[in-house]
Amino acid sequence: MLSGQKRRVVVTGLGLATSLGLELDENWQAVLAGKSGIRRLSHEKAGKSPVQAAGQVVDADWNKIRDTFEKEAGHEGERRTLFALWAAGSALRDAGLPETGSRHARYGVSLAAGLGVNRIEDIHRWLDTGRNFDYTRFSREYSRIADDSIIRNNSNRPAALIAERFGLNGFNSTITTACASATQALGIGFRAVQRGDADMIVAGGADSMINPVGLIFFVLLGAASVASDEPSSLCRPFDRKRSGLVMGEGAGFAVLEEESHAVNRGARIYAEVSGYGSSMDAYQVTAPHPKGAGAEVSMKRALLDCGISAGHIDYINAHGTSTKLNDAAETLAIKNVFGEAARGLAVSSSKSMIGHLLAASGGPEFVFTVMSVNQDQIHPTINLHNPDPKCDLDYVPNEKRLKTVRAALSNSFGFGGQNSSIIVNKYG
Amino acid sequence: MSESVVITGAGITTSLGHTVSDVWAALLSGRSGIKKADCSAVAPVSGLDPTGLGIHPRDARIMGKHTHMLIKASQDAYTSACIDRAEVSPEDIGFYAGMGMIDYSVDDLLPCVLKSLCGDGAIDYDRFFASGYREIHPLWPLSMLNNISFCQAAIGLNIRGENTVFSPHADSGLIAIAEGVRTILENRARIVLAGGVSEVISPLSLARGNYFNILATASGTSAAACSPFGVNRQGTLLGEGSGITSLELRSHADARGALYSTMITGFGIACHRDVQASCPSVYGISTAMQQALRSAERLPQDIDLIIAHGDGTLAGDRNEAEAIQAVFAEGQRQPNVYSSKAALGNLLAGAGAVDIILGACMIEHGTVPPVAGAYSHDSGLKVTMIKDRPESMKLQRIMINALSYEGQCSSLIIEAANQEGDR
Repeated sequence: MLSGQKRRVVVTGLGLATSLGLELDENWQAVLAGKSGIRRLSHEKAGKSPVQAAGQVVDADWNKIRDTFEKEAGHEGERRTLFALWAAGSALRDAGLPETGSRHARYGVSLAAGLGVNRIEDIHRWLDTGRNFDYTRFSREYSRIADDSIIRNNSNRPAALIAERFGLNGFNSTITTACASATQALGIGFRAVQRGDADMIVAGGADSMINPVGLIFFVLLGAASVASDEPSSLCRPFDRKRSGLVMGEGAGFAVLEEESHAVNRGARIYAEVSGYGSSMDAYQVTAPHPKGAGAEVSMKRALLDCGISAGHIDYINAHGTSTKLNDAAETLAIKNVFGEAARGLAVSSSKSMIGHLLAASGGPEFVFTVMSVNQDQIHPTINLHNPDPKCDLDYVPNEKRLKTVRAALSNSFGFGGQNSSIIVNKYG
Repeated sequence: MSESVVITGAGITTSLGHTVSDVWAALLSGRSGIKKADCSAVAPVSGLDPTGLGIHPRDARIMGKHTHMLIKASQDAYTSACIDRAEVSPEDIGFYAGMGMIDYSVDDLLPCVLKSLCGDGAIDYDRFFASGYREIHPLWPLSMLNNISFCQAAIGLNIRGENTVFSPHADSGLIAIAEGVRTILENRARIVLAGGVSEVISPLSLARGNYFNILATASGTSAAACSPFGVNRQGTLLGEGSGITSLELRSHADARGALYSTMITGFGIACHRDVQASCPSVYGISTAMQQALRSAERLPQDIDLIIAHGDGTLAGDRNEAEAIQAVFAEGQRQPNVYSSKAALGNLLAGAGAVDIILGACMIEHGTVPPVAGAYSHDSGLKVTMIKDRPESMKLQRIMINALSYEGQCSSLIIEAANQEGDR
């Protein structure tokens, strides 16, 4: 069984769909400028929801995506799936790879899929006169289940559709590890190319939970911010007044390519992926380990994997969810991994601007991490005005930083206690 | 000789029993776990007592049957591998699983829906947001995430190493095991638990199967049977179950005296949907099989048996049979074909992992079980099925196929591995 070989893996394409736009450059310029994509939700969308703001892909952009993928959209279009198609397609185009065409058994997909849409309409539709759910009628009328319902949207459908649309007929996997998903999908894709299972994999994640049940999902768990701050300042990772996660939606993908494959076709190389690690807290499914023990192990594993010293890392794109527990535990874990060097690290949270893209969060965050290594610029953590004594690292508050970034690490941690870290360094 | 990865522990729970030996004995006797039900026959897991699984009462509320099945199979794989925890730290144990879709239970959301209705019976979202949603249990969201069961199993066994969850069909369980093998070969873990668990059969999961038109419905003449490559096949039938393996380096197993009979030597993966039907194409399936042979450095004639995906769907079985024919060209020795789905139903994310464990049993006993129930082979499909009674044969190498009706294909090769002293 092929293993043990370590082919070099480079990033040759990046693609995004976020509340800040559908193009890589507009997203990158916006986050460098510290612009927030968190906006008040329309009454139609959120009504009297305890959550009133989110990082939503704007309607004009959504319509553009739907038009582009009309065939896959069906009647209503499941946002998660269409975001995935858009961002993966953009990444392939950015890499100069054929966007359609023949079958490629050496090209593949590694995708993090969000939960999907739980629709109360799918219960309401089959209530009988006594207001009981009529299972018999439901089982006969399954074709009336809502288009975007979780019941009829398999989690591996987005990856299958990307394979079909773009002719990527080799490796294909779908990862569902809550908020760790996208970094794990990138890590699994990285490994597949490194081992020789594929020469190119488009990897990343897509999610959208901006729907009624999705909006209250993290309210029930006590993790969402229900504060009434101005939307753009609602998400404040590492700030003493942080009040919980703020949802975003969208997708982020990267083209991970074997080095010689990229060089031979004259591709532009953004950076090299050099290490990946994962771990589990094995602590509680309802809360992260308070000392970040699992996060510490995943970062150490990623460092061990690429064999570079901790002192070589200049930037960490943090999980930084703006929850009390995560930001303190992640800070502690970073200090435990990097020791004295932690003080010299720049650490920032993309979520302060685009919100928490949940299963997809590691996707755009990886894209920004790659851009930092490529451009020697680091986007800020916005809304950081009140230092928390438990969060005492350099979080690049409010203003972008110009700094040489030799190597950078991106963290994602999931509900349940799964952790993952991926490392990118300058190519050459 | 290069290192290989062996299976040193296994756990299975299915409709035919909750231990590897019970399921194996039932299969040999030709029994089927499939039962007639209202709209489609199913093979549910029953009698699995969660109280013996060491589940914390705090967490019981968010644990569905899939959690119980996963925990049971994981515990058995772990226990049967006789791992000495004084020797192996939690960070040195990896964990990978293929896990199915999770459907909400209508009962969990119904009170919320009722509380969100206005006078004329329509949904009023102002009511939903004001009070309706509070009828939902605060931990319900966790019960909807399939990785939560996985994390609960990890907590129970104190596993903290490399991990992920693949979803949601048969290929995911095979990818999980292949990822586990690589994790061992690359020295990222000393022990890996890997496998898969099915989704829970419910009206919602059956609706999904019907929506994709893969299920045999109750109106058909042989509706109570899943008939892989059979002349009367009308569709697949859902089954419940889980299979988990414990994996480690052969040298590691030899050094600690762990028992094994089987090693994992090849893996292939592809994705290509048949646009005419809900199943992968011949190209997709044959690509995965060819890759598996290449990665095992084997030729088609080296394979003694194929445990096919063979889910009893009209187009799926036809495409798989054609792919087998394409890979195992005419004139060469054609391998025998077996499918467990006539006995166990379609375990989706659990299917590939269960088939690997059954394959290891077949290698160990030199026996292939019969297809369960009355069975008539489709002579139009040129595959050689094991049919009426258990067949003894020398099994050196088995190929296992696991497919998704969305288009994903995977194929894995296991081989007989003698204990060190016997070599």
